[in-house]
Formats: sequence, structure tokens, C-alpha cells
Amino acid sequence: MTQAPMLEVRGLYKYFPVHQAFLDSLMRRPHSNVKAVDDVSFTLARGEVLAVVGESGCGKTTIARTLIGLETLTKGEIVFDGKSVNERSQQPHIGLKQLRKRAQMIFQDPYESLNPRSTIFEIVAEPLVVHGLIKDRQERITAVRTALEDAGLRPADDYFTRYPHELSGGQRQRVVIASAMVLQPELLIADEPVSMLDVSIRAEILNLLRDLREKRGISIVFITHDLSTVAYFADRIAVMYLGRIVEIGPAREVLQSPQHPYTKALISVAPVPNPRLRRERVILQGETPNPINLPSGCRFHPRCPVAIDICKENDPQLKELTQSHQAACLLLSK
Amino acid sequence: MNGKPLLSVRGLTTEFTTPEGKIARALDDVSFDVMPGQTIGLVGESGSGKTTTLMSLMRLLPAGGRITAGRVMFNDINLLSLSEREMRDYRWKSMAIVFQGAMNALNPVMKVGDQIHEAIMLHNLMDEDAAEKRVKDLLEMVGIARTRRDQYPHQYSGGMRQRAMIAMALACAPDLLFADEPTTALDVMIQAQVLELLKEIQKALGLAIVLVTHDLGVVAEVCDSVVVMYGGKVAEYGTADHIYNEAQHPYTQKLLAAFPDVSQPGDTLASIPGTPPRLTNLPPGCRFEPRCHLKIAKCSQVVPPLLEVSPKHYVSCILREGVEADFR
Repeated sequence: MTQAPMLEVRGLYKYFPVHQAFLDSLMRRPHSNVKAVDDVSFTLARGEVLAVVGESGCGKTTIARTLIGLETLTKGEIVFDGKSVNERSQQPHIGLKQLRKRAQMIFQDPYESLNPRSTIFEIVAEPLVVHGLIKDRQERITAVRTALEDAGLRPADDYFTRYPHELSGGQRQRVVIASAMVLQPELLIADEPVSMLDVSIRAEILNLLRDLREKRGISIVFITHDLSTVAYFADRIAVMYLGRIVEIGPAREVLQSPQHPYTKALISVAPVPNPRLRRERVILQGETPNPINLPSGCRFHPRCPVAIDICKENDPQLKELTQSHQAACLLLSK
Repeated sequence: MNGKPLLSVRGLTTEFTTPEGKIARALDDVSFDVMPGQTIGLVGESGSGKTTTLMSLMRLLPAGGRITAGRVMFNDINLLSLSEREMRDYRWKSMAIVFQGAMNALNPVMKVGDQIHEAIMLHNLMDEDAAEKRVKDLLEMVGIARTRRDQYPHQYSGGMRQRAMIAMALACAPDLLFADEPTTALDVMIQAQVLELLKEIQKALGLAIVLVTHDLGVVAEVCDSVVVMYGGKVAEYGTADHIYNEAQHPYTQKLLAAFPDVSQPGDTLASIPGTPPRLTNLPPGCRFEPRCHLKIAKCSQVVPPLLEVSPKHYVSCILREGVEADFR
């Protein structure tokens, strides 16, 4: 039986209007928008891990927030398990509450995403309360205990009455993961889950997410700016630049033979922990341009080391290189 | 590594008194050398004493902290024996620091150029006009257009603020630059730009750099030698090649295995179970003993000394002492 993919994103746009000065509205100057996500499409199969990689401001967090309904999309369609996430859609759609029962998000900063005045038990049990699941007290305790133990906090009962400030960063992130997993979601959206943690703790959390995925078969959208953590974890990688996917493909293929010049540069600057392997690095000058006034043509051309004249005029579309590997660069069509 | 070190740290021990009145030994017998024109990396997890080392060397410890033992020789002068007044002559002129979180270390209500100008004038190095010229030269050196001298920090991006902080640290032409996590809050590409800048400046000015970071990848890219710290002690100290390719301390080995490598993806990541020790409640023997996968009975009783296992490669682990045979 062929199942619908876990998640399908078609032509997603998310624009944030820029607040207009009174004078500008009097002069009838056009409204401008921050084009955070600008025509993004991808699918996520069941049990698959897709990593979304890019610099700050490329729109990766906005995608995550839109997927879970924390932002309303400007245009496009997000289909979760065959049903549209957009409640105004003509297609059969899934309610927000239903969506959030089945899709959970892990935020970046475990120091800020836990309520300091709640005990660990309350934090992990809260999703059950919100969704009115498992009313029986004893069963609820069992569910919380299982979630904490799955997240590697053993023995779980020792943590029930503790508060977040008593835990280390790694333990807090485990609590965050436990409270996401207590609902047994099918989709997990992890927004930079390890970037605030020390290296030795980072590995534990990545391994934990990998185990959960293997045991439960959940799909994960893994958002990060760090290509080296991706290599261990993702099945596919989508590289974003200024609101658009510039390259998407199987993780190994993208890392070993990147096609887009931006991906090549990103990979070349990822630090390699071996001084014998110091390589030639492609360091892009300047910073990501502002997403209000996008450059003409290919949005990467002002920083691209191999840009040619046509790049200033033509906006490249994603081009299929192999069946599963696509990149958006005019030079590839030559 | 020939010649005389620019900075030589021996047996540096720093303690803090906690608000509860407990003594926390943040640094314990830390020793290393910084050679002129060389980059040395201090690596370790949060709480391993990296920043405390820098603050002790600059004698900028916060209230409650004091250096209880050790020597810090800078060009044959023991910095720890100087008076506060004499120490001020060394700060910024001989050794300068780029603070952690440079994004927020600039004064938000003062023009960036004025802040650098102030650093120069405070040290009476030159007159107003010469200082003004120096400000613009410094900005240019770190890759900021001279025209942005009169802008405020909020008009700068994160990477530019970090560059401005580096320019400020270079204001009085120090011989030694301390950089505390200079790239941590930055994007990979900006991080690469800043590291490249540090390398260029080092080449041009012959600076020695002490780079504090938790990122082993950054260290591998730029450092000549590396000090691996754990729980306030030096676990291993050697050239970058020693540390990355011939690591002897179990902690260093584990730390390297836990670091994802984009050039060799797919293998499993080793993690280090447990957490670093609390400084108020240190284990009696080796600091790493509770988390060590190779520990033997003696590890919890004896504090391992820092041993030279091969020339210029020091390891603090009793398994390297030859005791190994006695226990098996």
C-alpha cells in the first residue's frame, strides 16, 4: 500500500509585511515585505529525516514555525498526511489542534523553553492535559515516566518533582524532547536542538534523536546551520539561501558532491577536526543580503564566486540532476 | 617550538568563594607556554576553566575570585607580582582581549569609532589626530569601511561587531591577543571570515593568540598548539597534531569522537555519559574519573600529574605513567 507522504510542502511563501511609516502611506508608496520563505517545495516521507541547512535569515526557522502553524502561510500548501494544514483550504484539512497532537516541535534554547515554575512532571504531562488525553492519573504517570525514560532521564521518578533550574543544559533538552514525545507524534520538527549545548552533550542528544527515530519510525525535520551534525543524522539535506531551497538531495550525495556553489562554500568552511586536513576554503565575502530587496536574477549572484553575466538576469529554478538530487544554478544547465 | 616563550604560565591556581561560602577551585595547577607569533587553543566544555584562565592571566577576575598559586611570566616579568597600577600598563598595550559575546560587548550608545578612539587615548599613546588616523586604519585592517566609523553598534551586523571588537583589541598594538569564543555566536560563513581575519592579522603583526573555544573544529583550523582543559585542570597539552592524531588522554579521545566530522559522515557519534564535575565538589582523584571509560581503581585516589609522554606532548592520566601494567 502506498501511503501519502508524511509532509508535502508545495510552493510555500511566507512574507512578513514591513511596518510602513505614516508618510510613506500618504505618499502611496508600495508596501514592502520581508520575503522570509519564497517558493519552497519539498516532501518528507514517513520515517525520514530531512535536514534544512542555511545561514541565519535564510528562512529555515520560519519554515519550521509555518509547518506547525505558529505562522500562517502567505501562499502555498502544506499537506500533512494527505490533509491540508491550511484551515481555509478547499481540500480536506486538518485542524490545528489535531496537527499539533501529531506533529511536535523542539526549540533551540532549552534554557528558555521550559517554564521555570513548573516541575518536570507538570512540563511533560502538560501536552496530555492540553489535548485531554489519558485522563486516568495512574496511566498519565506511566506515560510521563515512559517519555522521560525514552529521553534518557533515568530513573524518571527522580525527576518528577524537580524544577528546570536544577538540571543541566543537556538534561533540559531531554525534558524538552520528552514533552514532545509524550504525545507519540509522527512528525518532529527540531529547530537547532543542539546548538546551545556542549560538544559531549550534543552527541548524546543527536544519538537520542536517532534512536527515537529508529524505534518509533517518526519523521524529523531537522533545522540547523551546522553541516557537520547533519552528516550523522539526516537522510536528505535541503540547503536554503534567502528564502529558497538552492539544493536538495540525499545527505551523502550533497555532502560529497555538492552542485550549487553556495553548498560548496558551506561545506568547505565546515571545520574539520584534523589539522592535517586543512583545506582550501571558499570564504564568501559579505553577508546575506536583506530579504526585503532581493537581488535580481539568481539571489546568490552578488556573493557567488563563479557568477557570470546571465546570473544577474535569470532566476534559476531547481533542476533535476539525478532523480532525487536537485540544485538551482544556471551554470548546471550548461 | 624553539626559542623563549612570550607568555609562560606555571601552576596557575584560581579559587572562587561562592555566596554560600564554599571554595570552588576553578583552576588547578594550569601550565602552558605561548610562543611569539603562535596560536594556542584552550578547549574544553562549559565550566572547564577556559575563561577563568584568560581572566586570571589578565588579572580581571570578578569579585570573589583570587589567584592562590602560580606564576605568569610575560617577557621575564611575573605579572602576578605586579601592583594593580603596574598591571594596567600591560593590559591593552601588551596583552589585549576580545571578550566573549562580543556582539553585546560594545557600548550601544557610543559610535564604534569613538569606542576604539577611547581605548587608544586612555593609554596615552599618541595625540588626537594620530589616534583618529589609527582608528580608521584599524577599521580598514579588519575589513570595515572607513565611512562606517561614525555608526553605532546596532547599525553593524554580528560579524562586523566582532570585527570592531578585534580592531579595538588591536588598538594599542599588543603582542598577545586573547580571544574568548570569538566565533561562537556567528554563522558558519561569518565564523570562517573572522577566523581568516585573525590569521591574516597574526601574519601581518606577528601576534601571539590565545584562542578559547569549545569548538574543536575551529581549533584544528587555526591553532599551532592546544591545551585541553577539564574541570579546571590541563588534561592534555601538545601540538595540534598531537592532540588530533595522537590523543593520549581518554577525555581528549572521547571529545574528538563526539565531534561530528563533515568529511567523514555516517559513523555513529560517541558521547561522553555524565556531566562535568561541580567545582565545589570535585572528585578526590582524577577529575575525569567518574566519566572515564578506562578508569582503574587508583584513578579515584591519586591526582594524576601532567607527564611529558613525548617531546612537547603532556598528558595528565595515570594510565600513561606505566602503572597500567601493575594493575593488570
